[in-house]
Parts: sequence; structure tokens; C-alpha cells
Amino acid sequence: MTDGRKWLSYITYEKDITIQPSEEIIEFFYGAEVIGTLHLDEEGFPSGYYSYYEANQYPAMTEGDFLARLREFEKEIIDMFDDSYCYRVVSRHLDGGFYVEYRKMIDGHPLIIETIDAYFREDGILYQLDFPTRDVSFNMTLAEINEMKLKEEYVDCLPLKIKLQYINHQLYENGDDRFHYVYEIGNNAPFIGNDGVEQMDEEEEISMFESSLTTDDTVFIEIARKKLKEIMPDICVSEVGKDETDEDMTIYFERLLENVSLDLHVQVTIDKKERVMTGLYVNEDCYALGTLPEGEFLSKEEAKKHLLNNIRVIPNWTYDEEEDSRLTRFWDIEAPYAMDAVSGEPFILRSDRVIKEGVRK
Amino acid sequence: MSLETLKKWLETANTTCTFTEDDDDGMFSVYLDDEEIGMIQLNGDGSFQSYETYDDREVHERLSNEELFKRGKMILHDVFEERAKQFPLATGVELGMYTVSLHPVDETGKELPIYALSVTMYLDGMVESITSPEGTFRVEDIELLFTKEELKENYIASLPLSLRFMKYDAEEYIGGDDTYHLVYDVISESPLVHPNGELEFFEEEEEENDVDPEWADLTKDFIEKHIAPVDIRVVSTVDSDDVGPNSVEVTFIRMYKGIRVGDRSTLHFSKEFKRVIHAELDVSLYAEIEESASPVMTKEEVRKALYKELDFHIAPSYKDEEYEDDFIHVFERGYVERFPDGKGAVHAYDAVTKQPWYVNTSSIIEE
Repeated sequence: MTDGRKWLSYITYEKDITIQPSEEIIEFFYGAEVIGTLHLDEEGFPSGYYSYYEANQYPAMTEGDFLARLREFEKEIIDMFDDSYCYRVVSRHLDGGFYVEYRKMIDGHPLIIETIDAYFREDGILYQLDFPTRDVSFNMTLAEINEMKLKEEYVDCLPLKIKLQYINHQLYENGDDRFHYVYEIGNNAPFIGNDGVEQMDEEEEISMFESSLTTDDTVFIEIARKKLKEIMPDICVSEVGKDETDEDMTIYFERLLENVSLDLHVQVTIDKKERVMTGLYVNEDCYALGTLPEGEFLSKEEAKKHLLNNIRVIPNWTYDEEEDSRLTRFWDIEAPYAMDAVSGEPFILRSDRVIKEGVRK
Repeated sequence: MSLETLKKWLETANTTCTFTEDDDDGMFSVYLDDEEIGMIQLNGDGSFQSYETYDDREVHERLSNEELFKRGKMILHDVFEERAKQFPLATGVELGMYTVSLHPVDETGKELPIYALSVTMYLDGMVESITSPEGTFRVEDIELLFTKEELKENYIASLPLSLRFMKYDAEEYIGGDDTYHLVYDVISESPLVHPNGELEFFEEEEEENDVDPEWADLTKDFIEKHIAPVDIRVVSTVDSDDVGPNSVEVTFIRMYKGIRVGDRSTLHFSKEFKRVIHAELDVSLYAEIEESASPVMTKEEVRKALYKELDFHIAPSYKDEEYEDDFIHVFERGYVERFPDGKGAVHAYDAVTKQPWYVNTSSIIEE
């Protein structure tokens, strides 16, 4: 089925490549060095390609050049595998590389699982390619629903607790590197399945202090507290819990801002025998300085109204365990990670930058 | 078949153990009263292969190592019956839990490592897991490239015997006092001995490559200000996605008058804030060093002392696996290091008192 030759122009720019095929694997050699392996399934269809190329780097490609190269790749590789994978999402990773996801079209709908996933380096060399299995069975039926009712059920299931959070620009699309009071959604989002909306169990907190502390505990906490005062005199923290093994004790702290606790942790590990600090972990955002945001909080009712305008009902896919893991569609909700508790502005987590999305021609 | 006998080892005074077969693939779920506590896997021929519990118990009253060793042997003989007779050599070791293994021996009566019937118990004697090896084994004789004396000489001559300050750890070494001593290190840079007597060396990883002075200086500053006023040598600074986004990893080691102290430590800095976000610090950074320590023993004396301690015997070691009609574990009969009676290997010599540091093996029982 595949002899490996047509892969050459995507996996390297070198000329003298030797191809060593066997039943399940095709190896590509540049001199004595294996630069990549192509894995085949029982029928000879590709199941994955993995590059071992580290050293040779070529000039970075422009997005235009890359998309042109991609079209060739699709004709020769993707369509030969299965030409119904014609919905594609091309995105740019933070390291400059390109992710391309190919989705199978079924009755005009792109299937968002069982995708073909390709990763190209910045210079256009194919670095990793994973194929799904070829025979997947589907159940296309999608229940009739009342969208507004689903949204309302979803919002009603959210615990909607107010938290003070640092909205880092690296993490959030609209991050402004300031502290905001937010209603957090992402970590407490309800689960939506075939039976409707279900409340998730609340996140487990780290092991909080038991009511009584031993003398030793107090000593270790004091050592940790003193150390933090030295290392970060400008940052205020308060201890919230501990964990211990025979050798050491780890004490957890929460960053405080004007006496309001932030969801940012610091932990200090103390060697019990030597009574010295052997470990430290600081959530990077702890070092961010700032002031408490001002303004009146939206009431829960107002917050829910804002949220209803910022969530979307979308069709999604799941594996139906009861039907031999057949793929089944269900209605899902797309929601922001958090919402400003004062202004109602949604905060959306940053993902790879999408360059192009849609059905390719 | 021994499933019934296993029950009595899993039950406690007031519980009943039952098994239910999951599928036709030889898997059984194990229940203690109504609670599922683990699973049993059978071999293709229906014989017992392994048991594993999901239960994570807290131990309140522990048995002594001798009691656990005896109990472990009884369990293995009970569960494996006739098969256990082909595994005559028993060993026991405590590492948080207690493991008893029965090993086969070769024609010369020497133990085959790895290939064993084993039971691991919580320290109160309750079974955590029982395992048995698949397939059979074969021992091959190989050509030895050197005599025993030649091997010892090659081995000892290859050691660089670096001077270091090492912690005489009370748990790890016999007579350890948990303080730092000036020693000749005979273990960290020692070669691997292949069964035919060939030595394999590991690459020296002490190269000071890729040290960015900005992060090295920040590290020195942090250690001096917040940890201890000690000299350090920065081994590497790594700025790549592998160590986390937007952070730099600095690896360093304490030095005293040009001699390494203890093990390496690492700091991670946030690139944005230029402050420490993660630290793993070796306790040696805080240790007191005997300022006047200077070596009395010579390297020649170390080599002579080590020559008396070091011993090899001819015994099987694991080579690889073969799958033909059957699954075969292949062993090679060649050189294997033998340790002094009742002690482990020598890891170091105190350069001042000339005392050897023996690994403490008192938690191991061998019959």
C-alpha cells in the first residue's frame, strides 16, 4: 500500500535518504541515523509517523508557503488514507510549529474525535502524525432539545463562588495582568451527558490543617514562614495546610492580597531531621503585585443572566459504552473559564492560534 | 490448584473472602465480605499467576522481619504447592513493605535473580501482591575474557577515586552518623561489570556546558542570601520548554576548597519575574564541613584496601527473553559481584580515618 517514497518530501529536505521497509514499520535513514519511522496497520494503511530529527533546522516557513505545502501533503497522504477527512483546523503553536487536525465529515458535520493529527515544525518538516482506526461506527441521531432550557440548567448547576484571581495575559485571551474578582466556571463545570446536566463533585481541597497541631508542626511551620519572609518579603502569605512523610513536611500557603486570599499557592518542604528547607514551589503569579479590584459584585442572578449570553450550545461526540463504544452525538455547552464578578466580562483560556478552519476544497 | 488456599491468607478474623470470575480470560475479582479488594490472574493452563490488591491499608501493629519472612515463605508454599519446590532459595527484604521471594538455583547452586515467586506483605502481614514468572528459563555458559584477579585489577585501576564530602547516612551505611566526611568515592564513577568481565564506563556528566552567567549569578545570590553562605558551582542552566514554559532551570553543586559536597540541587527561575519558582535543595548546602579535613589515606592505599574487599563469583545474571513455542528467560553464567558476609558493597573510604563505608543490608534475609 505505502512504499514510503511519497513521504520523503514531507519528512526531510535532505536528498540521500534510504528507506528500509518491513511488515509493520518503514524506517527512513539519513546516513546511519534513523530520522523517522512510519507505522502501518494490518492492511498496510499508515497508523502513525514519528520523527527523530533534532539537529537539522531549516529556515522557518511563512504561513502562505506552509499552506501550499499542506495541500500537496493532503492530496498524497491524507486523501489516500480516507478522503472523507476534509474538514481541517490549522493552528500555530507557541513554539512556531503548525498543528493540523483533520476531521471526518459525516452527513455534513465534522466529527471532532477520531481525528487525524499532524504536527509540523516551524520549518515545515512533518514531526508527528497520528491516524485513528479506519472503521469507526456512528450513531448520528441527536435529540431534539430546547437550547435555552439546557443553558439554564447548566447555569443553575454552577456553584458560582467568587474568587480573587490573577488574569495573566499568557493564559487568557483577554488577560490584562491584573487581579479580578471572578465567578469561576471552568473548574466546576457541570457534566452534560445523555441524561442531561449533572452537577460535578466539588474539587477536593488540599489537606487542610487538622484541629490540633503538634509542637513539631508548629516548629516546621515557623521555619517555613520565616524562610518565605526572607525570600519574598514583599508578598503576604498565610498557611492553609500540610502534608508529611517520614522524612519531610510540606506546608502549603496561599497568597494574600490586602488580607483577601488568592487562589495562588506557595509550598515549602522542610527536612524534619535537619530542620531546613529542602523544597520550594511558588506559583509564578504570586510575584505579580497589584491591588484589589474595585466595584460592586453582580448578584448571582445577574451573573447567571450574563453567563447565559456567553455560553453556546454545540453538538459534541462521545463513545457510547452501552453500544460497544459506538460514537454518539450529544448536546454540549461551550463556556468561558471564568467571568468577571463585577463587569460580567468572560475570561477565555488561550489556545493555539487558529490560522484556518473549514472544509478544504 | 490453589485458589482455595489463598482465601485463608486474605481473610481476617471476622471477614469472608470470595472470588467471582470476571470473564473467560482467567481473571477473578476478590471480595472481602461485600468489598472488592483485588484481582487474581490465572495462567492459560488454569494455574495461579498473580494476585494484587487495590486496598491501601494503614498498618497499626507490625510483625518483626523474622515473622514476616516466615509468613511469606508459608504463603508461597501454600499457594504454589509443588511448583514452589523448584524454587529452593528464599530471600526477604523490607522496603516499606516486606517482600519474600523464592528463587531457583542453577546446577552449581547459585541463585537466579529476578525469576522468582514473590509475595509482598504490609508490615502487619496482610498480602499486598503475589506474583510468579511466566515461562521457563535457561542458563548459558559464556566465555570469560579475564581471570578473576585480572577483572579485579582492571576494575580497581579504572576508578578515578575522586575526593568528595559525602553524607555518612545512618540508614544507608553501617555505623553512619549523618554527618559529612571527606571520602574517596568508589561508587559514583564505578564501571558496570558485564558477565564476561568486560567493563562499561558511563560518560562523565560534569561538563560545564551552557552556563548562562546571568542565571548562574542569580543562583549564587539566592543561595548565599537565603540558604547558606557556601561556594557553589553551577553545572548547567537550561532554558527550554522541557523545563517548563517561561522558566530557566539551574543545576548546581556545593564546593568546599575545590571539593564537591553532597549531591546536586536545582532552582527554577521565572523569566518574567527573575525570581525562584521552584527549588530542590540537597541538605548538604546546610551541612557543617570539618574545615581541617585533609586526606591522610593515599589513592594507592584505597586501591589496596578495595582489592581485599572486592570479590566476584561465577553466577547467573539475567540476559534477555526469548519467545519461541514457549516464553524463555535466558541467563548467562559469568562474573557477578559478591559482597562481604553480612554487609553490602563498599561505597567509599573515609580519607581521614581510612574507614570503609559498607552499605547496611540488615533488612535483607537470605537463606
